[in-house]
Amino acid sequence: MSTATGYYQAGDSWLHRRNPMTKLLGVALALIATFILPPLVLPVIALIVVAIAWSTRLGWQIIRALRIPALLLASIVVVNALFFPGATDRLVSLGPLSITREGLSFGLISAGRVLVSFLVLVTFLFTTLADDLLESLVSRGASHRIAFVVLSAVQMVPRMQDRAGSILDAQQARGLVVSGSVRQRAKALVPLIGPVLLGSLIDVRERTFALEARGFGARPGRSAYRIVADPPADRWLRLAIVLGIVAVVALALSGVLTDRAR
Amino acid sequence: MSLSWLTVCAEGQTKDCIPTIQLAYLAGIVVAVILLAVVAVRSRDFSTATLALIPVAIAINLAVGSLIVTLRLPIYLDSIGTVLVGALAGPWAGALTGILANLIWSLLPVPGGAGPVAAFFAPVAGVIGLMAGFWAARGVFNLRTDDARVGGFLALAAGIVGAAVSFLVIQATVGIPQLGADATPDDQNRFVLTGIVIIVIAIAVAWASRRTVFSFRADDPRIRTYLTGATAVFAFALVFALARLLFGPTGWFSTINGSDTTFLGGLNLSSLALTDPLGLIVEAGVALLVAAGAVAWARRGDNARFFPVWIGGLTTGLVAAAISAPIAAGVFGGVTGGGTDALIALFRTLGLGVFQSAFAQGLTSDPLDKTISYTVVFLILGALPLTVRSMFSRGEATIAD
Repeated sequence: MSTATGYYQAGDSWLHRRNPMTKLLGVALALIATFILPPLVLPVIALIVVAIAWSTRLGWQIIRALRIPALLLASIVVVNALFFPGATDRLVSLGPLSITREGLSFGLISAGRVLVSFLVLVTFLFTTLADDLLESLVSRGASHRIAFVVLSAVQMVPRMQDRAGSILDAQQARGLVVSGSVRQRAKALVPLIGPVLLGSLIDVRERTFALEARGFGARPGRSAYRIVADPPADRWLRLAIVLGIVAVVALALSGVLTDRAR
Repeated sequence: MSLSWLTVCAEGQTKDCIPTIQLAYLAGIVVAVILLAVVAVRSRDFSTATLALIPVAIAINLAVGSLIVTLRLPIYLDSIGTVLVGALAGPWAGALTGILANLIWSLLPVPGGAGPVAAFFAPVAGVIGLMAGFWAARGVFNLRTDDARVGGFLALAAGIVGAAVSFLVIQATVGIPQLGADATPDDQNRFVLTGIVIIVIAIAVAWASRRTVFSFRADDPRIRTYLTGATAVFAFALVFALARLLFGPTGWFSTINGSDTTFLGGLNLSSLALTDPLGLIVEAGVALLVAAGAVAWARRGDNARFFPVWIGGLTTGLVAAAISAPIAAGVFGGVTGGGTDALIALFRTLGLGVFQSAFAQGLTSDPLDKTISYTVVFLILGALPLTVRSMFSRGEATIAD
């Protein structure tokens, strides 16, 4: 995974070519369906997502990415199956603990929802460049400052990992011991984390200057030569006039005045 | 279409009404949306420096948080960046950092993220950012041991102690009704009344002590002594409470007495529960030793200035636990995939319900987690160069040199 582009996997499939907003709406549809429809639809949605992922030829990468939530899913199923409160229908007894039907079904449903949402999100992330997504959002009116913050944050995590790697090499060249007992490795943590954190925070200063030099903080919109005054009295006057228009139209439609004239 | 179902469920009613718990969730969602709207409006005024800091803080949150998830420790440590931004750039910037960090964490395939778990806790992170900004404005990272504002923090600590003591007294004398499934309206009223009484006592103690015992002028030599004393008292209370919970005659070990054959095959650990008065003396002795060590530590150099930092972290942790427990219980059945799940399993074996075990786990992990986070931020702020700190609206006032 390259540092500058985050988690995007380059490719030329039909999904790569879709507009990011289309894909975003698709993600929203899939997530909403996962969480509000009954759990019977979960395998259907999962199959559809896997089929879509396979058609982009990224199927294997997505399957490999499944190792990330594997522990969470196992944890959800196990803890709920064994420790669901108030469950009475015992299926299997394993010594002092036992798997209950209610717990198992609740655990499987929760884990299924998390799994499907993970698949949807990963498929979206692998086929969408973050820059493209934020550009399409900004062109539709999202704040470009928040877009910068999100984009910067997404790219910053792999960048920090790279930085940590080079600091590790540098400290080892200066004689830092990073193998050995747990205590030794824990002591090696401070000379590693310290420079990573402080280095990133000090960089904030340079970034601020670079952004300001490119007009990042400038307010959108044009400034005007002639300034037209709009005192508060005018606003109330306009409100009264609009209400007057509505009253006139209502009066005409209700025909009160014409009846009176008769 | 009739709207007769648009009423709150009474006791035992399950059809044609809205359960109170769903009403609570709805209220929570409304509050979260209002918070988000205020943050969005306020974010228009953030300086470029703040906007450049927020991504770095988010990356710190994610990096440390993912590490802790991989290590399966029963804490989170995913709010260090949030507290940092709250301290340097104000509460609303901190809130934005927390919310965005959790949302982005959900989108990235890193440990602890890549799923809806982190996104659901975004409101909690927002509140943590708000509280960090609030405490930083009160000077929590800034206090030297000759500052008069320390009195406020000592008074707050006294209030917390007052609340704890009154809780124990009430439980030992009148008794606090359990809110189980068969609680009568009378029980519920007594529960609420007890809560109100405890809070009133805490406020009264804090206010009174602020006016009398803890009203200092600057450079008062008593401040340092009181801070050292407060550190010792809290260390003693913490260790004693922990020992009592585990080893007391009605503590955790005493419940593992072999009568429950489903737990580890009827293991009998009740011999580890020490009987009074010997047990009391042993536990108090151990706690006193720890407190003595705390006094020795607090008297060295400027270490006593950590106490207000810890009070800030403790209160933030309590608030965070209170807000995150309903979310964890309602959305995930309490299980979120980190090391805290071991605690959840523990509390469930003790017979607590989903909500109660989520709350108990939160109260165990969150205050400790936020105290550690505040301490780390305190150290980071001390190490940041002045040129970086002075770029932010509150940077210069945040920490004493």
